[in-house]
Amino acid sequence: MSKVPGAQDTPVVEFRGVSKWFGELHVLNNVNLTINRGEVVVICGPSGSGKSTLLRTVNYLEPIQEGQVLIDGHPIGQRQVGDRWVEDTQANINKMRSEIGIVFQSFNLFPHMTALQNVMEGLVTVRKMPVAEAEGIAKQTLTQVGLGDRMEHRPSKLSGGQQQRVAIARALAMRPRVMLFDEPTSALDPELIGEVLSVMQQVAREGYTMLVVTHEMGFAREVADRIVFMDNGEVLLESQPEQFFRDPGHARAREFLGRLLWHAN
Amino acid sequence: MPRQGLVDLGPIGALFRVAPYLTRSFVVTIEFTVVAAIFGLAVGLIIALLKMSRYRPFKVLGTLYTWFFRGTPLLVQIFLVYFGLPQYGINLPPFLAGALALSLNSGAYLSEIIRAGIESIPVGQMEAARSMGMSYGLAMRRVIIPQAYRRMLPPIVNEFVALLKDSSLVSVIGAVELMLASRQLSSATARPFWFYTYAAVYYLIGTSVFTQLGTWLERRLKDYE
Repeated sequence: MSKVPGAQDTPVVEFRGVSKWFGELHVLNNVNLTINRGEVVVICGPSGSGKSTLLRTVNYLEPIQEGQVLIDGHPIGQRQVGDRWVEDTQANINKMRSEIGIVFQSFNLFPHMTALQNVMEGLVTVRKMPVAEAEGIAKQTLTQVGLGDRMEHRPSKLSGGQQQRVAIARALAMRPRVMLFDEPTSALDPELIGEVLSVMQQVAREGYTMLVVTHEMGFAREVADRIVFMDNGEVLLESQPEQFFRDPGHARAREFLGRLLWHAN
Repeated sequence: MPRQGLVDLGPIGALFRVAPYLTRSFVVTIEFTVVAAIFGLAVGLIIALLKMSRYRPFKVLGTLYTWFFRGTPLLVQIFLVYFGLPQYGINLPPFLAGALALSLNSGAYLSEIIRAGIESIPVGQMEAARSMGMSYGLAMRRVIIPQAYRRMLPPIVNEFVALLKDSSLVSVIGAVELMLASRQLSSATARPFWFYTYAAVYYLIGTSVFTQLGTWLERRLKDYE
């Protein structure tokens, strides 16, 4: 729904043969996936299927043992020396991370700062932007997520839904190449989920490239351009939302959907 | 020091007579505490960083330091510095030797407080900071330390209270602080109960002020949690 006309085929995030092990456990198994500019891709699957781990490889919170994750064509966390790939310098990793927005399940706002300071922090300390300019952007971004009247509040004085919207604003303010969402509504009371989802929908409408790990199938159906189903560290299928919800065409995905619907009713 | 007639003044009269002297020696006790607190914090921060280092030899060094200074009596450490070092040509006057031993000792305890404080901050905070593109150092300075120090303050104040009391041990190497002053007065007058009671009252005042300060700080910083 949010594809920029004519720009559909510019890859922003590319997973190429990504594998990762935790000791013996094969958490990511040869993942190949491309997310194009302006696309909203929802990753779903049972817990422990590796979807959060996959998301976290995009900004190198999780290093991988095999393959590459490319952001606008640049592999994150790796650099080539001669014909060998070695770990990239911290400075390069930090630079690339500053261009990737991530929203966590547990918000992870900085409790000693106000909402406004949270959103300004990266602009001022990482981007070295003048304070006045950063404040302008932060205020505008907080207003966008509907928190124009909560800017001086500390996170502890905000509801879970409001905290998560501040976290979204914090990521958006950096004007990232891609927005990652790691189960953004899983820690929220049911009545607060809607406000976060509608902000995410708005972010999608603005044309942001989004990679979203979520159990919110309503959001997936309405907002996603593509749905990726994972199990046991493998991408089992990619499909259009209509088709996925009509019949995913894979036994384990069918089983997964059946369980979700069972719980929803 | 006026000794004649102290006994005839009775316990209260004697207190008024020696109060200026006791107060002066109590100031020395406070000086010991403050000096050891400042240097102890510096030592504690260094040892804490060593212990949290990913580099194994640093980790071992930090752990050995804490193991030694927490596992041996402070009195032994004071004797090592004051009587032991001169064997190798390092002669320190009593005040310096006492302050050094107290600093090294409290550094071991403070390093544990600092490390625990930093490690008590949820991992998500570091992840969020690094995800914005902050370096480890910047994330520590802007995100972790500002939260950790609020949690560390109460136990640090407790450590300072312990330091104030432990400083009485340096009396054995002849640094004239409150404890040694009281001992001198006791033996000069043969009224130990009076003078050690006065010493106890001085210490109580000192520790109460510290404790109150700690409670006040704790209440003030609670909002930020």
